[in-house]
Amino acid sequence: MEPNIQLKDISLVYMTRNGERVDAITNLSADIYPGEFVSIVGPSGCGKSTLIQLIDGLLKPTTGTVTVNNRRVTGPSPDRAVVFQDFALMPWRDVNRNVLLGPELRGKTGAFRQKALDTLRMVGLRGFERKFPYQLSGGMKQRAAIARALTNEPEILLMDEPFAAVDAQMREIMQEELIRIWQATGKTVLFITHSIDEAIYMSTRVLLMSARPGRIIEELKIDLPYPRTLEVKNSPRYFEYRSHVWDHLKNEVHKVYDTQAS
Amino acid sequence: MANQQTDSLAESSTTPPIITTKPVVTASARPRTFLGRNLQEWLPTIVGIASILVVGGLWELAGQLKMIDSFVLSWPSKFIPELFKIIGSGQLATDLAVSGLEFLGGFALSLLGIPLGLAIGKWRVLEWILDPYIAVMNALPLVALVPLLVVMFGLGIASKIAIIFLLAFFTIVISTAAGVKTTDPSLIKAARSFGGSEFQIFQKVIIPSSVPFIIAGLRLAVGKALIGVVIGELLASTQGIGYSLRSAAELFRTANFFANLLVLAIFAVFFNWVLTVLEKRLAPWKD
Ligand SMILES: Nc1ncnc2c1ncn2[C@@H]1O[C@H](COP(=O)(O)OP(=O)(O)OP(=O)(O)O)[C@@H](O)[C@H]1O
Ligand SMILES: [Mg+2]
Repeated sequence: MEPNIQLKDISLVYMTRNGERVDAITNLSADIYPGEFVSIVGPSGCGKSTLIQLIDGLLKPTTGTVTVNNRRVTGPSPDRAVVFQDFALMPWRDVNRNVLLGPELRGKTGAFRQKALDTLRMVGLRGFERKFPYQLSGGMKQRAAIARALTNEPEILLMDEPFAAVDAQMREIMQEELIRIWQATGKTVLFITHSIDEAIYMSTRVLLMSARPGRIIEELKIDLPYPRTLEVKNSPRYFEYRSHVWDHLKNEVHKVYDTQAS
Repeated sequence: MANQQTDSLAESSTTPPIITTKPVVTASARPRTFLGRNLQEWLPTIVGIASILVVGGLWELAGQLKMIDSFVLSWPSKFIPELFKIIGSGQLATDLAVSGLEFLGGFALSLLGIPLGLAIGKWRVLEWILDPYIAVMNALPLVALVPLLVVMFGLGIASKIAIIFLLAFFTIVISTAAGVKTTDPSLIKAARSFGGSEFQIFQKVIIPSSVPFIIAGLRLAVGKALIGVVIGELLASTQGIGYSLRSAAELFRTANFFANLLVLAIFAVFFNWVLTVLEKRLAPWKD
């Protein structure tokens, strides 16, 4: 099978305003296949959000190439949608108009009205169409951002810590819902999370990133059946995966901690 | 550790709670309303009016007790009848017509500052080109130009419109440009990610996000425009509120002076109120 997303030896250097270079990503390569649910776990500041933007086409790699469906990425396209870490909802638009942003920018608002209502129902925001972001809780804003990405009907969903602001119960519901959508639609999902449990629970594969500059240091195929019931979560296999990921991550987190301390 | 937790949980469920909650007594089941507003919401207004009445009363008392020299100051029972007198004589109407026309004319022209501010915020080259002039015009006490403007445009309305325009225009340009530049980059990023063109990003992200700044600029500009009206008329005119203020002072008609001052205050407060309403309508997300 051809990979859906191909990252070939990409690096990204930020140049700050005072002329400093920040090596966010160095020599990162990865292939992501159609229909996969891939989680990326890595210490804070290792370049995860940068990676999402590279795949979306918001950033161009300093070196290397990003290829989606055999086409080199030169900019954003409707076959990819991002759920941004900071939601990035327009404060002057109500929930409905925020969710319809993608279709509106493509001049297709009318055709997507029903889709928007459906996705809003799915994320539990029906009845909040007329509310503005400042009237929503953090978790509701995050769900609105997810609805905005889904309404655009992307083939590839790029999610940057999408459940960070939702409470534990809502998180579980949304995890299950996302798995359901993923299984029903066959979308490719790239999912960034800080939670090792979430990564293992959700994904078919987990990629571990090193401390900045980010590389993929470990790749773990999660061979557990869906739906991942409580039974699966309590299986010895699950715990093996968990301690494996944790061991690798610990080293990287220590690196970040030590450089920051010195 | 886990055991301890369950223990303490079990304990707390058997021991009676230390804090016994009393039922919350609500004042009334249905909040009372007046003119569609909760009585609670009227409180600031009521207190504000009471405050004016009390201070006005004390002022009046001081006047009645001859604690105020009527030659330099006035008090309510003197300038309020004077206000009705200038309303009755038609002097106020003519003044307001002249000053109002100057104000609206100059202010309307200065709204051109909005498109210019948007353009400056958007194109950095334009900013670099215009910045020296804007910086000078913003720093300079522009009222210094009034004598020149009178030479150029005469004693009539035109010279006042010119000074009002200059005062308000640069204020609006500066705050509009600031609004454009403080647009949250992550919103621009989101619009670009969802396929927005540069023009769409400008139209659907940058302009709406600048609205609160534009309104803040308009608010400042109203204040400056009113200064323009008064200074222009004080220095060189034959009509308007500023002119009436000057002649009242020159003739030592203190009560008349205060009546005109009151009109000016009402004028200023009214325009500020209009902008507050506008802001609530156009930028409800900003508090
Ligand atoms: N626009 C920028 N200019 C300069 N440096 C940047 C910029 N954006 C990000 N960086 C730096 O690049 C590195 C990677 O940032 P990125 O946001 O991708 O990290 P992240 O893994 O998403 O972190 P987190 O888990 O905290 O969200 C960080 O060190 C960050 O400070
Ligand atoms: Mg991030």
